[in-house]
Amino acid sequence: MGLADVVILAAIVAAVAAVVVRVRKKGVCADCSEAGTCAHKGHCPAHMDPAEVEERLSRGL
Amino acid sequence: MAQDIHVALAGNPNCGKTTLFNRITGQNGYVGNWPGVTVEKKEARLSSDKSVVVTDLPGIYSLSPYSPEERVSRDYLMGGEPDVVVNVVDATNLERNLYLTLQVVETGLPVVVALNMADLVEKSGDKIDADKLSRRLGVPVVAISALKGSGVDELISLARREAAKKAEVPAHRFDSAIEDVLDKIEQLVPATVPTSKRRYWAVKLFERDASACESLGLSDAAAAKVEALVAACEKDCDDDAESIITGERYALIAHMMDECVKRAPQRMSTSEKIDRVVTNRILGLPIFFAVMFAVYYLAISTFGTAATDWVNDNLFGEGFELFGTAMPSVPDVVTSWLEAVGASAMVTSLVVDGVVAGVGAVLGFIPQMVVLFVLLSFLEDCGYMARVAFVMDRVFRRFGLSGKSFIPMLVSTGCGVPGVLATKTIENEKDRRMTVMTTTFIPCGAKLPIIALLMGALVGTSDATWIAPLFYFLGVVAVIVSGIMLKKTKLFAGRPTPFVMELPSYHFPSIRSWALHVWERVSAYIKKAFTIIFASTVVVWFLSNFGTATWAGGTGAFGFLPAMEGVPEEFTDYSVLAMLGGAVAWIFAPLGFDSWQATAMSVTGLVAKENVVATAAQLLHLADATEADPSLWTAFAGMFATTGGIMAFGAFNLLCAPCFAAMGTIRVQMNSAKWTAVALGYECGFAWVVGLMINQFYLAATGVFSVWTVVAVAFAALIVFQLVRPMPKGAWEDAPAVAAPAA
Repeated sequence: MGLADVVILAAIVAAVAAVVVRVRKKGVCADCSEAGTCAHKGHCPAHMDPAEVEERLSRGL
Repeated sequence: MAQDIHVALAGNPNCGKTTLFNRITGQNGYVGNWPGVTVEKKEARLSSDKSVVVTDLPGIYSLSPYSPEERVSRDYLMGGEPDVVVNVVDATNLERNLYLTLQVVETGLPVVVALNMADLVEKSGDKIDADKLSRRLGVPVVAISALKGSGVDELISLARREAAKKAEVPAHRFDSAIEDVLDKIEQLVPATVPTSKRRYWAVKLFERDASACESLGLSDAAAAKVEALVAACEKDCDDDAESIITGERYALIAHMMDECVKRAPQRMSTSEKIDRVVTNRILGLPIFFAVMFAVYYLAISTFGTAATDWVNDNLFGEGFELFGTAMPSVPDVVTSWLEAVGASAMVTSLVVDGVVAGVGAVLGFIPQMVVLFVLLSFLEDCGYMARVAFVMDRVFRRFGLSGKSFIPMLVSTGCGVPGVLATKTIENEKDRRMTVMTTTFIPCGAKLPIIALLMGALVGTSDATWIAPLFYFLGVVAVIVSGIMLKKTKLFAGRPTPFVMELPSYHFPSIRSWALHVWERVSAYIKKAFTIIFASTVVVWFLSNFGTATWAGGTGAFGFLPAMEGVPEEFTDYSVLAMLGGAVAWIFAPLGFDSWQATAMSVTGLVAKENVVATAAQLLHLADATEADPSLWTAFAGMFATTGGIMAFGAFNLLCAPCFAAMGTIRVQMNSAKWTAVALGYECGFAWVVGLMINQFYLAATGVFSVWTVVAVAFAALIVFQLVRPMPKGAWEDAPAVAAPAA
């Protein structure tokens, strides 16, 4: 295996790892029309229970 | 640093809050022309002033906590967080919108009323005196058009000014007899409640709002006094407390309308004229089918196909000519570069046959995707899709379903994730669960490449215009059939939820919003191609290129198959993927596709539906590179023994469990592992049965019968029985009678 192979394979492994990190962070909602507006998984409505939303919104009441 | 100013946008569903939110914050939040698009609050900072935080609340008709949206909005407003509330009012439906306005003003929070769609009011010839309305409500009123941006700057400056003010006691007053009682109740409200909010709580206590006593921590003695006051008032007015307050609010609104609105002579608007045809009892449904037929035909069979074919045949195929200069294709460029840097055959195969073939196959469908979403976004933005919900409500109601269930399905044409999320607005739990289970039957954008692949495989270059729309309608029929069948089971029986929605006036969408809508969806598709699909193609390449040399004369060693000695041409048959796919391929044998390749495509499609095409491109490229016609369609069609098998493959992959993202959302929405399993199990089971019937009936039509023909007939009979049998006795007894639907 030559240097070029090592470099290309390393780049592909790094890219796949980046995708895995992105999925862990954002969920797999890249095709959701909310894409881009939910910067963190915790804010993504796809990962949030409606009761949790209510709880969050009613803080301080 | 100056303290942040919190501005809350509150208003009726479909009054343009999200359009205003997007305009002032520069966000691209999803705007739909039907209620329930904003199912929770969205927050962003003002583009022109980052110290202003704007919150877009769900659309509501009142602050009475009956629905989840109303609870969320009320809790947020009364939680003390907003410094000012911008009450967005649909000026074309002022009378109805003012009901919420009065309630918002009653909260004692600083309020600015934005009369949205003022341009449409002007166009209709009506006149609203904003100054007079402002005096009557006791809060500033400004006419705006969120779509065109007029009046928005003035609105922001008024909101900033009001936010700096202290909260005030609401100005409007009810009948003196009611006011006397409210005054007495106000005296009983704990002293800790600020003056500006005392009236709000007095009204809530008058209405016997169950949560009001609890929130205020009212003593038993005070609660008893309140009850005595309210009961006496009810006796005097001969009506219940809630109706008394509702009546008073509407009486006030009627006065305001008389004073502040001058109506143009009644004449039928253009929207009403169009609606007479489009929502016609007989023509409504055929028009919807004709429109969707045209959309899918144009996207997949005409403009879209021409562009997609060019991309596949030239950009990712044999290259093309640009101004007389021969340009190489992407795979050629990548291969040349890899050769130049001295990459090995294995790495070249990984990059070219794996990543470029897989991701390229998905990207190749972008032109069709663009055409589809240009058309769908136009239909949504111009107001037609809201009519479809109304038309479908009429159809659904006949079978005991609610038109409210069709809203998530409309959203699902873009993506199943927000579609499943949109079910939050369905109050009836049984209806909500059933909608979650069926909403992903509607083909989302990610399924478009599958439809295009099937069309190419089924018709090749012939002009069979009906194939692509057929698969869309398969989804719609699957929803209706499933809904009728499930509604007749104990799990889902019940009276349908009433569906009330407002039909927006038809209008030509703003180019910016239209383009944004299309870009959101297409960019998300591209983003997905370079993330999830890319990672999947790498995994699929490894699984399909590594395996054990178990062919005749093979060493039995595990490794990179193409580099092994004596490797047969069809080396992927000895790969790990072939082993895994082959282990479960028997499940699909009655459906006419028992090859490990087809099974692998279906399984990778569960990660993301585009993977069906990406995996096909990888596996078929490897298998058929030497064939005379290397096109994906031909190679794909060659995997199946019959046309029935191709149709069954398509039906199964379009109807079975959705992608991981949608499955995760289903899990969250169901809030139960058992119900998630029921939903995914039903989807996969239903898809399998539909695929079985398609394949077996096709085979029977060609004179081929087997035991599976009997099974398919039995399933068909069961489905027909469930569809035509009357609703079980008592199925609607669990819910009170409801009013007829309104729209």
